[in-house]
Amino acid sequence: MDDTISSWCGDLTATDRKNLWRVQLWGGSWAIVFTGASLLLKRWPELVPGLALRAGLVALTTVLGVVMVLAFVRFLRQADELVRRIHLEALAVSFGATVVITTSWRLVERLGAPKADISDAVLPMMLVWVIAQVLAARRYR
Amino acid sequence: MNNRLRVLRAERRWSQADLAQRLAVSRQTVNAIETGKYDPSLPLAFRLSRLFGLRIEEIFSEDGTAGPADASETA
Repeated sequence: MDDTISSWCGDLTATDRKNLWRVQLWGGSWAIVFTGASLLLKRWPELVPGLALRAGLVALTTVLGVVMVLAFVRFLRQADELVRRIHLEALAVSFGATVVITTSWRLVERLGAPKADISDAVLPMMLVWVIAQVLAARRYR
Repeated sequence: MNNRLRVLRAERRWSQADLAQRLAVSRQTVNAIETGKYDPSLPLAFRLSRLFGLRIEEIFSEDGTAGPADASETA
């Protein structure tokens, strides 16, 4: 019996689903810890006394981020080859679009637009990545 | 790249899902190869070759001439 399941980013085999679940688990953990660490260090620094504890919080966030990336690389390496193609195409589009958007925004800033921080690039990058996955998956339907 | 995958599969009365399972790929991959939207990797082409008992060039061709006749010419 075929074990593939359709998803918005292509048909996923059992291995793909298992590896994607790991990516989501680590990604979710990273997002929660990152958000918590940001809030603590910015709004309630007194709850994290001492440089060592704060550095530990930053280190934990960074380690979770690295584990999330490694989980994603594992997913890509073991993925069904069409799913891998879809994700690599989406990553390429996302990377290219982010470069274009951020460099163009530099010019827009000179026209009077508010200055953007490097972290502001994350949102358009993620949005373009998701849209590109959907479009790439549809192309191979 | 053209291929005879749909014909070969139909001859064996396999669904796309059946073939996908035998190849350990997704059904979408089989469909994309059959419709010419995606060219398989070399390892997957070899798996197809072994599964159907045919040489790769008897399944795939650049100009749509893949088939037993080609095989006899090049054998």
